[in-house]
Amino acid sequence: MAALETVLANYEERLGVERLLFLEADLLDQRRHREWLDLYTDDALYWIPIREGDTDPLRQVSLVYDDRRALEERVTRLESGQAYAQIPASRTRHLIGSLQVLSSGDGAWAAKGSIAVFEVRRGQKIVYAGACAWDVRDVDGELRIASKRIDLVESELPLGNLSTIL
Amino acid sequence: VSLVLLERNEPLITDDWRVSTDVYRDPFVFAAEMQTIFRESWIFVAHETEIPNPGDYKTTHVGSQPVIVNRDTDDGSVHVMFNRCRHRGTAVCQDEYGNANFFRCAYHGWTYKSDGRLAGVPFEDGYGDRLDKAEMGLVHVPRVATFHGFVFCSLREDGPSLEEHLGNAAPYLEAISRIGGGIKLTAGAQKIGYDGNWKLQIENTIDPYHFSFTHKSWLDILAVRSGERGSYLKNLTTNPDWRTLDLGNGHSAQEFGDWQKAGNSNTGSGDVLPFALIVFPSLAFVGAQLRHILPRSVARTDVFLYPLMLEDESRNANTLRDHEAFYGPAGMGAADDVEVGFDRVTAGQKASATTADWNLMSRGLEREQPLEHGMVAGHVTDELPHRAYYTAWLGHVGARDGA
Repeated sequence: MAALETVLANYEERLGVERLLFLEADLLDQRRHREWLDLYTDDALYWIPIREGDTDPLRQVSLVYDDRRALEERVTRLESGQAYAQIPASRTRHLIGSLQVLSSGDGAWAAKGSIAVFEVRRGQKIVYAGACAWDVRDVDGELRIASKRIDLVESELPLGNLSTIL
Repeated sequence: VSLVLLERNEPLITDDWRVSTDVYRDPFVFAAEMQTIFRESWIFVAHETEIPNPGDYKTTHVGSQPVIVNRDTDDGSVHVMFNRCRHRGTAVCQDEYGNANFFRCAYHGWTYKSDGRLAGVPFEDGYGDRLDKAEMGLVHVPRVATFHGFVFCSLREDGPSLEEHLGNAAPYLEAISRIGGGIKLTAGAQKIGYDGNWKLQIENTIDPYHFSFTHKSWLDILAVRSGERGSYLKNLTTNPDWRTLDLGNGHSAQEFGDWQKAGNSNTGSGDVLPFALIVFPSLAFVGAQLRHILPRSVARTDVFLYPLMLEDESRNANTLRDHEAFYGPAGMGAADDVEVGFDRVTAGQKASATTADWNLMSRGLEREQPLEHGMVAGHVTDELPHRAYYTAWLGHVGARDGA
């Protein structure tokens, strides 16, 4: 995660970061996973820890700790027609709230907020909620997500099939 | 409970290995399991590395029974005690892990030492001389025993010792304890919960038969990673060194070659464990994890997956990444097990009015190979581990018949 030796992003910067994060939410809800993946940098990290608070991913097991290769594997799997955990696929809506965007001043931003993901699958409604932090970077003039960390309020509970992408 | 089982017209399991769906679905069967297996057998509760220091505790369950597993602040011994105040039944310990010199009940302030002894009762004079504090400590489960760091307990006063119970599984468990200079459960656990019977997770644990179907998408990922179609399927179908073993007493193993031969650590998938193991009734080892199965009700199960961290730290971070890729609620394999092995099975098993209201567990019955010490070997895709498990299961649950 980027150091927060930063200041609040200005209005235009904030709009740009918001547009990226809302696009991410929308692509996930539309299950356009390949296009979603394109929003991430080549060195991206996607992390859902389990332990609340400070946790060391090298010593503590996580729910997800995906580098770019693992994210691509995840998407390829979802497209394969053999990811039974997503047959039938989940319907979801991602909500992002309480968003704060900080700027490093040199093409990098740190966004944090709350997310809720409403999922309907197998005749059940499930809600995931948590704190979410994104690192956003300007890559050749396009904003990309360099990391996403989701601290779910239910991370330490037994969970069922969490094959939808939060 | 025994009456319900006695009044059945059909056996729960037939001689030709049809298993009645009531085994998974009937709340009376679940009650019988809690009354028999989880009160009679040796039940895994913790690994000593979860409570390394004096006063460390872990809360867990023995069947339906909430217990505290802790390390004595004075002599460092391990206790397993019911998590229940002797006054009015309040659970005295709330967190999954922690450290405490005392357990103080929040209701009326009764306070217990780490060995369970009742140390203090507020306004004790209200009991006159009728309260014998020496008799009113937290109740210890009747038997606690540790095998190479694995802590088990039994709610039964007498019966086979832990080592007798482990039997042929003991060398496997001991071998696990020695991997990488010693194992430790210090990375926490991934927790899976599903609305289905707990034995579905047991059956899914040593079941290579399902792997190339349920997990085809995972095998495809491995093929891309390695640049070649893996040898898993070939080994599965033709490698004579890959086999399953009925170890007796409900335990079973899946081997990928002679793991006792020095230098042979072939696991078939680059994992930490050189074999998979089920220790009856609720402990298993697969890949690089300790798997603790926790029955909550006939139709609700929690499964805690603890990645095995090694004293030799060099592989631990890789172990975590390998583990997370496949296992846990968001794992690219385990999520399919939840969907297919648990949720779809539970959905299908609701068809109870059919004349075929049973599961077929007979695969490989004709090609079982008796070994020494009462063990039996089978083809790696056979349902030998399932039969081994249910034979012991019947020994507990079925023993209620006529009891």
